[in-house]
Amino acid sequence: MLNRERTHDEAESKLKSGCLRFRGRLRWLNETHRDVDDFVREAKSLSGTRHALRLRKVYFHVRAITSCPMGEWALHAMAPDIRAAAEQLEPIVRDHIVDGSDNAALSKRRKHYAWREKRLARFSHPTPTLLIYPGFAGGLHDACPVLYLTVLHKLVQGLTTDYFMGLDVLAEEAGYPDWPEVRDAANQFLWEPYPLRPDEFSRLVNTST
Amino acid sequence: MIQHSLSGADFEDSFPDIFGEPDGDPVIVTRNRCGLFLRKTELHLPAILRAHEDNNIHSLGVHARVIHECVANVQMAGSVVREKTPKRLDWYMNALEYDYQRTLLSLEHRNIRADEIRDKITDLRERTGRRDDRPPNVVRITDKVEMTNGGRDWYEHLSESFGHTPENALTGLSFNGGVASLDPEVDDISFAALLDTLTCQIVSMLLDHELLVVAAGGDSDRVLLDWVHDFMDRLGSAMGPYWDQASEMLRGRTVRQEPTDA
Repeated sequence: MLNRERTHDEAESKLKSGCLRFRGRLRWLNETHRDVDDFVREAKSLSGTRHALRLRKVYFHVRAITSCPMGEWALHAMAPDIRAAAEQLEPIVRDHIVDGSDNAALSKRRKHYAWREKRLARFSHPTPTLLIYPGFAGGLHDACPVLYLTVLHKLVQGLTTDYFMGLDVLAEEAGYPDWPEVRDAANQFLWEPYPLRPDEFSRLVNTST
Repeated sequence: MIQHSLSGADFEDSFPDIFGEPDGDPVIVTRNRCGLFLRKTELHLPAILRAHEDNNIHSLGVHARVIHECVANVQMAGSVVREKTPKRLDWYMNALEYDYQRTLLSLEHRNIRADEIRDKITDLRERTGRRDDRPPNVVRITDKVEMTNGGRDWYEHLSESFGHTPENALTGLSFNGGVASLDPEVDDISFAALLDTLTCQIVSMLLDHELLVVAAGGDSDRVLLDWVHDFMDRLGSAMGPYWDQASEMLRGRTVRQEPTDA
């Protein structure tokens, strides 16, 4: 019993740290965005482009997400902002990947977007039946913490990747001179793997009480 | 005040069942069912306050939209008590059944077939004395928000300006979802409009929650009523006839149940 509890606690701790790391990275990208946007505004021809405008909207939602505590009900408090930011980022990222003709990457992103939209919509449209479901499904019932934190981790990591890609497009368009350094730094963390092994995840979820 | 209203709910031992437990205490079942929306509102309020402090109208808008839906759900139930017509009760029951069917189809499609859900709905209808095996009619969110403060127009404004902002709105005013720059705009009138509507919605939700508890046989909550009456007095007739009706109903009930010392 104690071993099982320890394993669960360790997994939760790994996932929580992962969520916090990605929240910190979102904050860093948010700050970097200011510099890129200043540069874009100076190059007036780009200031009103669809990418610059969509990303400005994202900026405000990410700002809200990064000021939200990673507490027990963080998913409820973050979901509407993640959804609104994701909706603005999706067309930019899709165009970007299509431009790169990477079909495998596009298919992977599409799958993630479909999963994300379905998941996040539940947090934005509460109904009597839905609210009885566990926290990771948009409800208020106690959830298996590993599942809950896995959903949160996947959403925050996905948003970080999309935000970086969106800024990448804008910075490239504008010719922002410091972008190569930002890209190098981001590449160190963007593809960080999910902290639990698949078998570990299955075992923990199946043994959750 | 939401915390105060939630104090009678039980989210542990008798976590709410959508149609209520047949043998459960109706007051607790009502408190739990509405309490879910009060609790959900409570989870979004800190985000609203942070957005206000940070002059982040875009974040405030998306959270206000979620709360608007919570309010709509409680007011749908409240309208049954306020209007007391079979038509309103049928409409509300249909909305519950439609939500039940839609949610189960979305979340449990691997575990339960559509015809099994239909049978469950028919069975639940029979338990309340209705014989009808037709599927529930579609109820859209815009139908649900119709009776709230701000109604459908306000909900659509929140959706189009903040929830799903189209590209052409991004160059407009921040109240319409526009983003001229990354510097938060101190736009007091827009914030006032959003927060004022939101506050009225939350107060009306608390009032309807109270109406439902009283209708289920519970006692009136003196603290809440004093607070709401004070709120209404300050806002005066601007609150519209709904307030007069609801406060009158509760006032009458309070006098009957708990005569004041004064």
